[in-house]
Amino acid sequence: MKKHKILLNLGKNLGNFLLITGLASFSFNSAAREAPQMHSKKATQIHLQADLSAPIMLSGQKDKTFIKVSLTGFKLDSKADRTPANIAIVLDRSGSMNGEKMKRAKEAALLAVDLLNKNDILSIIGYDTRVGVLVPATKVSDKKHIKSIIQRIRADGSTALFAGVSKGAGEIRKFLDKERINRIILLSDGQANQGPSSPSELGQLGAALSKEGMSVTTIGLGVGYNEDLMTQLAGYSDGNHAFVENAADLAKVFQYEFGDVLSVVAQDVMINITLSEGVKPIRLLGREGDIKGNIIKTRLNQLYSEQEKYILLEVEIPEGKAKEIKAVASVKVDYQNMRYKKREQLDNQLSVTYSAVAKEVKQAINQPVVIEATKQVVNEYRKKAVKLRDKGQRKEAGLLLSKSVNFIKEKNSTLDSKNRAELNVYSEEISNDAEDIVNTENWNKKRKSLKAREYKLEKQQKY
Amino acid sequence: MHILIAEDDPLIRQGLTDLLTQEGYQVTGAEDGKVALAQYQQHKPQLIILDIMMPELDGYSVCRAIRKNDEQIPIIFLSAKSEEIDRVIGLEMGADDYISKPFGIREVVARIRAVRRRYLASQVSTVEVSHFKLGHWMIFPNQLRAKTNDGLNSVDLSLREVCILKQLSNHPETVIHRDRLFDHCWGYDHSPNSRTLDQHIAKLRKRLEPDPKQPQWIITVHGVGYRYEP
Amino acid sequence: MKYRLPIILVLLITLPLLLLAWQSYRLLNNEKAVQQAQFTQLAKLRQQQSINIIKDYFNKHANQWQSQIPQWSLTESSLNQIIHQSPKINQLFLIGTDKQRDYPIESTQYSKSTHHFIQRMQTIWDDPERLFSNDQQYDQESQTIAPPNTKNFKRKTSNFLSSTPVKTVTKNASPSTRSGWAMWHWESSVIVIYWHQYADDKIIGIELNSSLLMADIIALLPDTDGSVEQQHYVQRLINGNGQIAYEWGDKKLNFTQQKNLHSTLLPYPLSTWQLEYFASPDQQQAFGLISLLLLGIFAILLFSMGYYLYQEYHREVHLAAQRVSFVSQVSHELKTPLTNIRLYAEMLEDSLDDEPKSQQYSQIIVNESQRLTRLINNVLSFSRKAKVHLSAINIDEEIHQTVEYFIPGFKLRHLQVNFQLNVNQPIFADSDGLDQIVNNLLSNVEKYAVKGKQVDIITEIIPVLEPNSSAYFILKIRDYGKGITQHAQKHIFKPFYRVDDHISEGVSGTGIGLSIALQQAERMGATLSLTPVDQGACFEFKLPIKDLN
Repeated sequence: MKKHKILLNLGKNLGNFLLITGLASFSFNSAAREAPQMHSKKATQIHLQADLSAPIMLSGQKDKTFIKVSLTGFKLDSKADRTPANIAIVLDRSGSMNGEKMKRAKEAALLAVDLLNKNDILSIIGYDTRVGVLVPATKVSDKKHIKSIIQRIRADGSTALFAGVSKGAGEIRKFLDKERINRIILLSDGQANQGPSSPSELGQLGAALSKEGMSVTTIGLGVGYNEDLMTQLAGYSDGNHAFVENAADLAKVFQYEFGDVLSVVAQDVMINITLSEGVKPIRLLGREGDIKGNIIKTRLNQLYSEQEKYILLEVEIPEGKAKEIKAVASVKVDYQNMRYKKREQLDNQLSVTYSAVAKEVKQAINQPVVIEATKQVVNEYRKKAVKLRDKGQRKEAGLLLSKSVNFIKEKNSTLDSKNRAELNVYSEEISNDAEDIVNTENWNKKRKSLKAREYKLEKQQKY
Repeated sequence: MHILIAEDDPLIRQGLTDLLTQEGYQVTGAEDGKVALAQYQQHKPQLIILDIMMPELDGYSVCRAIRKNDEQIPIIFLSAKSEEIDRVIGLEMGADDYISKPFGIREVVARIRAVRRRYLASQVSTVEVSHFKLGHWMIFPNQLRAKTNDGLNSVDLSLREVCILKQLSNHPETVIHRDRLFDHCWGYDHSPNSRTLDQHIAKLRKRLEPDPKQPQWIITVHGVGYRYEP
Repeated sequence: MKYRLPIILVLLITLPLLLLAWQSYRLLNNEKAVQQAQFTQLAKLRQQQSINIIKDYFNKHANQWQSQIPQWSLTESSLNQIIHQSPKINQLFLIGTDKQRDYPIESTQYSKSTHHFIQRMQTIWDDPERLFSNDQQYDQESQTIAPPNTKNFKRKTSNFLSSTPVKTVTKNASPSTRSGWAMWHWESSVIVIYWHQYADDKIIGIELNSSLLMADIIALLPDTDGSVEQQHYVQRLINGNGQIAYEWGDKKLNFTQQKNLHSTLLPYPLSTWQLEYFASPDQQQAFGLISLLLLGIFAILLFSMGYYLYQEYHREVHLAAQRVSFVSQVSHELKTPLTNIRLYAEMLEDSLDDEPKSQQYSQIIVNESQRLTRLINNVLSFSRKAKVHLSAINIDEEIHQTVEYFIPGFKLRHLQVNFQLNVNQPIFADSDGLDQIVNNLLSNVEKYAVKGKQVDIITEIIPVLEPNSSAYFILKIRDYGKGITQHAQKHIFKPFYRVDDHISEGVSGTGIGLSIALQQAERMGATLSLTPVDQGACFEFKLPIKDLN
């Protein structure tokens, strides 16, 4: 019951600040200090955009709003420009993979070999009860040899997933380089049953690997794997996660994954938000971050070409007088530009304007931010609903999601009609989830799908 | 007394026939088991001597066949092998005695006498022929034996010898003519060498007379016969 | 007796086999012990390699931090930065000179991870000294546990859930600063801390990211790649909870048998962890198999040899039996003509006149036929043991009759027989056997003791002397010849033995007479022995008298 109250309160709050009208305040990314030419800068730099969901606030009262810090990778000129990759494919070859799955996994791995070139580094690790480094980290020059090794993989034994990832990390480390894309692609169809196997342990590993500059993409195959473990590992290391129910889709997923990996334009993206005095941080939505005092730190492992990644920070803005302009936050981004192989910094300032006119406030509302914020807030509810469902509180979980649907609809109604399509789709998804979460039928599979979508939204994963 | 001798070796059969005839028995010979049974049926002998190894029918079978008819008749086996004897004894065929080859005449005679004695002793119906006296000997015909009065000495006698002694004893101090003795003890149809009688007398004297060279009881009457001087 | 040879053969085969089996068993055991030792040595060596990897890992980081930490600025933001950037570091803490926590800074609102960190470090906040004051020495060398003792080996479970730091480590050479590792279990995971004490007594502690620690160690340890080097053994890392953390080695091997398992504890700070080593038992089996094979081949050889010998023996026995059978057959065949010779000779003798020469000639024929009879009987009783037929016989008469046959021959040789027959009663005896005994003894007298001129034949009865003994019938046949030498006395009853001196020179004989006599005596339960006398030889036949009833 208590949770419902919180939900209602939150909804009310959100409603409140969305109803406030104000003037739009746009902030542009400032020029990178070291960039010599404007033209080339724009084409080869990360696009940083910081927005407030409500840039104009009603004067005379403190209120909450969302800061959206959005980063978009620049466009790669040609294929030749792409950053060399250092990839470890960690394949589950436990007994459960036998047959169709193994065949498809091999196909996917073979495809991966084809997608890489001689500047890339590839290692292939197979794990069952034990771990074999089938192809130690090596330049992808002798594709034939690598392929023949892939063809020879046999499925047998249990699932030493942790050790497999550890070995994968070990292989990556051999050529660990900030100027490469360092990625472990983990494929598993089963529970990790040998070695450390809790989601938190894997998450911790993911976090550490991320600090080292690696990310782990986890691909869950079939309905036997542990989606919590896989999303934690991927989440903490800022990799991708995919649920592949049908082994036949593996190749497609690999294609997407490599599309991402090979289009990385920036790595080790440090986002530093310093809130102005009086502005209080409430929470980060989606991504993990470090909130210490008025400084919020978070990190993206990489940015892909022409893909937007963002963080949403909910803050409380102190009250102000009408017409007053108040600085809200300064955003600093520090990243490794893979094109130029150097670190670059970007910064941006955010401020809010107070207005006594509610209409102004409403008009100023940044509708795309509201859409994303709504989606992320509901995503958080969805996480909670899954937790409730895991505890066996199916009805409560269903209720929470139903209320979330209402919440989305309510939010959507505040938007211009031309902007409503996205949230309509989303509300559809959530109401489906609300049905699924109450049913016992196929829950295992649905939970995986749900977790994967949840993850996708949280990380703005493209596929 | 009639004896049947079943023996496949003709010489042994002949020898035994001669020996036992001399002893005073009536003897029939048979060369194999079948003939022996036929002879047995025909002559109803009082004693049977059976060789074990015979053609046609062996001694054991003959014995069994005869025992079916007569459990009393004395049977003496002749045997060359100790195994055969073992079997005879082991099977309890109702043999009264056995004689191992090679045997001497004294052995044969002694065994036959012993068997006859036992046989006669067991025959209740047998008329007890009374004993008679000769010198200081008492002669027991059924036992074929002569005993001194004190019973210390005893001499085995043949059937013929008993017959001779009986003739002599019945007519003391009378000369018994040789022919009479022959007729009586050998039979009318028998014409033995005259020396045969003398030999018998000599043998008797050897055993009975205190001094065979100077006979006291059996006196020779030259050219006629013998006389008993009590 | 029939089975003596087979038994001997079986013994001949089984004894060496048993010996060999025992030897190879011992050899196998020795080999096992050697292999066990080799195994342990190899296991230690290979485990040491793994342990060194782990040791190096810790040493490397200790060294790294030892040089880095003094350079760290201990401000909050810089510590934040360090945590944020360093993959190895999960969390940091700083204890001030006042033993109070300086970092993470006391706050009303910790982040979730900081909150957990403060919880699990409670024991440090209570007493920072615990990091290093717990000064127990620990062996630099890891303790090894021999596989057979694995049963007895129990983890110190007390360490598992306790939140007490286990121990601290290396004291730095510098007197003012020191550093080391600390480890304890918290909930189900291991906490590994690297701590450093500054000269001003401030302590900074680094909590390692335990997942990364594990992953790093796994990455450093060998993988399972099926290279020749890794064949025939597997290793695995067991964490403090007894779970398998990592396993590598020969693909075909599994941790199945306790026998070939070797466990070693890891060095501090992972001293509650174990390294297990398991080797393939292949080689041992191979050796066992080879020795078994050799044993089998040897056994087959022995058996075939034994079988051959047994066959040979059988052939010999069969041949011997054929010979014996032939001899007895011939002897039997001799009996019929012999019967006739004797029968007719005796009848002839009876019908002859008292003409002395003719009497003598026929007597000779009779005697010689009797001698031939005795010889044949001896041969036959030697080739076949006749059964004993005991019956009550007039023993004096029986003996007298037998002796009687010899008298004519003795007379020719001027040998006088003195009878002293004192048993006037029937005795249970085998008459054929007794006959043969007397025959053989008198034959010997005839052959060897004619010069003595006399032979005494004595029978008597020894009455019951003691309550539990029986009366005896005694027959003594004594001559006055040269006698038998001491040496020969031992052997005269043995078959085919002939006294080899001037007495027996030129005298024919088969050498089986006495042995047959002894045999016959024994078969009817009597004894036959040589009794000492002043002159000549005296044989005594002693038969226990059975009650006729």
